[in-house]
Amino acid sequence: MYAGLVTPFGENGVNEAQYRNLIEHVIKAGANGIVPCASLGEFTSMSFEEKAEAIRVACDAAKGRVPVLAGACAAYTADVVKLYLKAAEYGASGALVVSPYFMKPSTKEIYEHYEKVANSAGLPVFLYNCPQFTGVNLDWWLIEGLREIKGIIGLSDASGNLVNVSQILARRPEDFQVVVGHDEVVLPSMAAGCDGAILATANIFPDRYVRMAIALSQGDLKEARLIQRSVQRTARIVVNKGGPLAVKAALNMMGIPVGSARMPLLQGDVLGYDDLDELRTQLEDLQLMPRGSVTYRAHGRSVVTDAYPKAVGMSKDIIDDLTLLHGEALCGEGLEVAHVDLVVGLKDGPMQAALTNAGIKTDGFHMSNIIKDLRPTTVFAPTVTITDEHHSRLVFEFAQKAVADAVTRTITDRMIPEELVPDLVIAVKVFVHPNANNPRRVHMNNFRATRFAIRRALEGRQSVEEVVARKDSARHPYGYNP
Amino acid sequence: MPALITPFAKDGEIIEQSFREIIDYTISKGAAGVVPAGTTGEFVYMNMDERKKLLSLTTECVNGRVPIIAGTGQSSTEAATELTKYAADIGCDAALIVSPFYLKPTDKGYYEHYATIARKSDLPVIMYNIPQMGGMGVLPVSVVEDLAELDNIVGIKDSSGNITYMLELLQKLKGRISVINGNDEIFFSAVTAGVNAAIMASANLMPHLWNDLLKKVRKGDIDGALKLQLSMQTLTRIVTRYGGAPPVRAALKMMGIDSGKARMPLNTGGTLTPELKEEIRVELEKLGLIGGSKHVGPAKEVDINGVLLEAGLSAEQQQALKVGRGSSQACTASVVCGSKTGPLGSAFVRLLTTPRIGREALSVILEPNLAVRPSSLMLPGRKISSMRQASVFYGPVQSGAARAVAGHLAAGKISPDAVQNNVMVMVIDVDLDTVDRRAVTAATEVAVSAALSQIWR
Repeated sequence: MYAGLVTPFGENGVNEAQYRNLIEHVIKAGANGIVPCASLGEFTSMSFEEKAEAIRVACDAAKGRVPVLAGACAAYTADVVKLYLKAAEYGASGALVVSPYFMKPSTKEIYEHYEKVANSAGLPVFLYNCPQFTGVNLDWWLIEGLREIKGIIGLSDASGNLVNVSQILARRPEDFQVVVGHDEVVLPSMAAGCDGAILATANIFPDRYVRMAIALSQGDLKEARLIQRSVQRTARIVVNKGGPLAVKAALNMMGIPVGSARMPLLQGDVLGYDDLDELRTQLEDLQLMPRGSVTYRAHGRSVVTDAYPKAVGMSKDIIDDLTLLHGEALCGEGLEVAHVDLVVGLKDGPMQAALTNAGIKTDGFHMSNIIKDLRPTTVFAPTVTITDEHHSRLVFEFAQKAVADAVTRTITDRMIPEELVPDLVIAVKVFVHPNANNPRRVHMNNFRATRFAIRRALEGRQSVEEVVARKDSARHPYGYNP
Repeated sequence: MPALITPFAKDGEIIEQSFREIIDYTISKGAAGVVPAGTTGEFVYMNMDERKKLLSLTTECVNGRVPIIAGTGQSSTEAATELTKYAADIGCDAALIVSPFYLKPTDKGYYEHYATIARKSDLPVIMYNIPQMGGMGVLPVSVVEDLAELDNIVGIKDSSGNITYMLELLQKLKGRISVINGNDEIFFSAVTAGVNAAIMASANLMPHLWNDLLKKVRKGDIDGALKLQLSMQTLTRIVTRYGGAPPVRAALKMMGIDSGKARMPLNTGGTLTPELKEEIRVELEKLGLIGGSKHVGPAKEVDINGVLLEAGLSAEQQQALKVGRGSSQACTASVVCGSKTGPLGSAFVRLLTTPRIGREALSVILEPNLAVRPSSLMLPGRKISSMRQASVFYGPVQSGAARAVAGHLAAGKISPDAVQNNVMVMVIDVDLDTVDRRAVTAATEVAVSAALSQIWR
């Protein structure tokens, strides 16, 4: 179970200190090997010198404790050969060579590319199939030829296409290794006979995959399934929402600094702000997020909650003004999308206005209500015109339940000290599209949106810097002509 | 030629009178022929008997005025043959046969499918490529070339919108059979490339405009033709990308022609949302197909004091607030700013939780999940009366307002203390029935920016 390492960057190339620290984390957490400079390492955003440097540092930092499978990835065959020779020089155990990309080569050209690389020197070569990036799939019948080339010892398949992989597994000789490189299908791939894995999320929790492999080798499918399920949501975000961006965000939040991804990957884009909050809560569920104290200042006194889930770079140490905090979040998909605006604050401040007006029907105005049996006191304000009975149920049953669940969850997340709960009011405005249909998603999306919006209100996100930076590239979904 | 929709009653029966009305309308507007039971006619939801009945009804309604190209395609070769024979028997002029789908063949299967139907039925056959429908393949050009050799095969309708595919057909078929355009969005491109006919969903609505366009191209008025195409582009885009039948049905209704209901499962408003329906209305108005609603430009001044009064702020309390007003050609805005601990904080909470219906307040955001600071709410200067109007206000207007705030933040005009301790409320008025969202974004940014400049000098 190998980690496809992210590359921490500094101002002048690879940030060696952070890289070594990451490698220590990954090895200590149980990874069986490391893979520098593969897709997750952002090799397409690195110069040749930087790639060579990253491989050198990785080989040195591993200190022979685990094998280093160096990413020798480039579009141009001669560049791959150069990097491959460097990897051999630095003592890598093998090279992972991505199939040529962008210009779509024919099978003959792919074959000759690999032949040229494998014939260049003594390092064993792993083929690397990731059609979502290269634009070309390595079909099973092509693998059947490639695996005969001397020096090619295995394949890492990141396609997630189990049909192709199953065919490859069924036809391979025993000495040709096949490993899975797609985090969402590790269990089925391993169960089908893959020998191992090279994974993005193994930067974060390699131990889980090691335990999965052990469980499988002992025939304990039940345990293996539980492990895959525990990582499934995180794997989905990492695989589909910008790979290195998501892994780097996770590691940074956990307190393992790896810096930001290089342009054009940026947070808030392919890894959306909602994904970021989602990723954080998943890491909390996996108990990977540090917890610590946060001091609230209210009514001239300080109240401390000591197990606040402190995502590094997101949460604050002191929340010094509880008069009126404002948060917004949109979560979900299609017609079931949830858009929440909310305000949180002390009962005796401006929030009083939410309580005064709740439950009062005034002609021509929307009515809000206080949600029953909920702490802290929460006002539900669905300011959407109800179109029919189904819509009414989605709003008043499912969305309201979602808001209540999110408020309760915020307390059990230990974000707000128990002592402050009686003093607080939350008012949540929700939107449910009249054509929404799927109650479970309406609930889930409103739950997430409310939970995230409360966090954003407390933590003052997004920051002014973020707003300014995205002034021109932000894209409002309804801002454009149909 | 229109790919006719099929008007269904609530119980699923075909409404004959409505069908007749649509045929009369399209012929009166110059349709060169009609095509019942195509994709837009929801052929896939009708059984053999119903389709026969519909074809027979078509011959009766058309009564020889224009040719009928009967949609007789089915996934099963045998069924398609039977229906094509029937169409021949009752006097249809040609058959439009969609390439087999779901259990789809490859080259030889496509060939045998069409060859069998052409051989066994006595009706000119038009092949039909529409790969964007679920479970469809692309009809290979080499197979089309071979089939074009058969006597009874007279054309191919290509709805793919793929201009490279269409040009390959034109090149390789060398005029042996007709190439017919089936994609409304590329009509101009297709006819300038030499295509002479089209069977389109939007020809239910405006066959006369398509005829005008064709005439312009034939006269060599390419600029005029392009201008006309582009004026219809938004409507055609909605028609082709949202299932064909639902948008056309909605548009006909707006034009006063009863188009009945769709059949399940395509009848729930899942494809055609209320806001999209309103977009169709705006486009029909633009094209003069329905009477235009009166456009009301932005008010000279918006009544932010009234809004605040209603939210519980007395006139004296309002005097303590900083106010800015700004306007541009298409937008008028007023902004107030004050401490969140003061009365404006209470108004902020009240406007968010119990707003006036149609004047709902929302956070000012650059995009969802990216709210500006200081915390700001915006509400419309006039009542919102449809989902589309809502999408204009909580779209381009929201975007323009947020950009204005972000611009002031970027210029360092708003102090960190104000970011922390202030809230803002904006009332913004624009013509919510406007067509050009980009212009609204820009106009709002100018107006709100001017208002903010009076507050943050």
